[in-house]
Amino acid sequence: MISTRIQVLIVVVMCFCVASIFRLLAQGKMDYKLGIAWTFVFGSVAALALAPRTLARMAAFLGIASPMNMLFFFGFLFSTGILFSLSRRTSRLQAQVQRLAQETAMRHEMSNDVQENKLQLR
Amino acid sequence: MKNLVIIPAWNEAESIEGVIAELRRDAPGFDFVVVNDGSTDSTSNVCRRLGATVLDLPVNLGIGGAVQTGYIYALRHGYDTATQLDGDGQHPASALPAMLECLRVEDADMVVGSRFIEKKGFQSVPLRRVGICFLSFWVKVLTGTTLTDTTSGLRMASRRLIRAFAEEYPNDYPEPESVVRALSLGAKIVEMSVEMRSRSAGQSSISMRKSLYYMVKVSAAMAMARFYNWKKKGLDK
Repeated sequence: MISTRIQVLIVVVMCFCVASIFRLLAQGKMDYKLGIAWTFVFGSVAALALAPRTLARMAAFLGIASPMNMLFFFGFLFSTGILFSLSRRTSRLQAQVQRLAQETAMRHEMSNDVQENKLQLR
Repeated sequence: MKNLVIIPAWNEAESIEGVIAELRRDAPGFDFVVVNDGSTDSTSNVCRRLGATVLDLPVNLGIGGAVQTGYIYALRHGYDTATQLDGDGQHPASALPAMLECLRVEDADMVVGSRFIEKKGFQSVPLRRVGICFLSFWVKVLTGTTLTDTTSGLRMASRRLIRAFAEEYPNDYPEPESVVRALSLGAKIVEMSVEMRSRSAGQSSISMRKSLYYMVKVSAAMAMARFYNWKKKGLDK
């Protein structure tokens, strides 16, 4: 079982994290998709910490010796999922930035050409 | 026949003037475009002062992104061949007419300038030569094609390959991977002996520290290129 002290600590930390996510969402500094995913992770960890019997049953079912380890395992699993999704998004963004930079260079060169032609016509 | 030379340049202000002068003198039938890859020095200004066409990338994309920009330019302007030539002065412009002739006679999709056929001129440092040897072996294993200089940045591509590379081109350390991609698409690649020089100024983008990462990344990417989606596409006729 997990002690009340650690339960309280986990719940407080998770609440603080969720509050930070909400603040970032409200300020428009975080994407909703990611905000919801992180809220789900923090919320789940807090909920599991508040339900030690469920946690113990799940730990026994999966063959994990300590319910506390079960909690960390869940947190790690969810975080890995989000990090994987972030890696995919970063790669996509990199490709998009590259295309954007290439198009910008092309258009800039074209506009230079047009300006030179205009000057020649004058 | 419209021929383009793509010169990727990142902080090459010291050497680019010589490269452009050499191109005008030794390869007069070739248009050229300098792809300024987010240089922080005066590369772009030097090129513009010399009347060169410059594509200024607003951020540094790395060699792959810069070269692909050149291929996109070649495709949009209807060029029949596009030749990649480094902006550091390592590649002799005088080789271009012979490479063009080789492309035509061999009916090839790509001609690669190789340092190691006649083993003349700058041969790179021993450790890099070992790496190049391994990459050549890896190309042979993956595609059955023998190439001696898989990392050579001097390469001429046909219109079919210009289209393919404009669509998709590897990002970092792209030369060996792009060769495997081209071969997987069914392209014919031939090598021609070219005497290269050591870079006239600036620094190589691949430091010794990065070499191990380079070998692992490139080897994995080459295998992926051989067995993944490129195999299915095929080159346009």
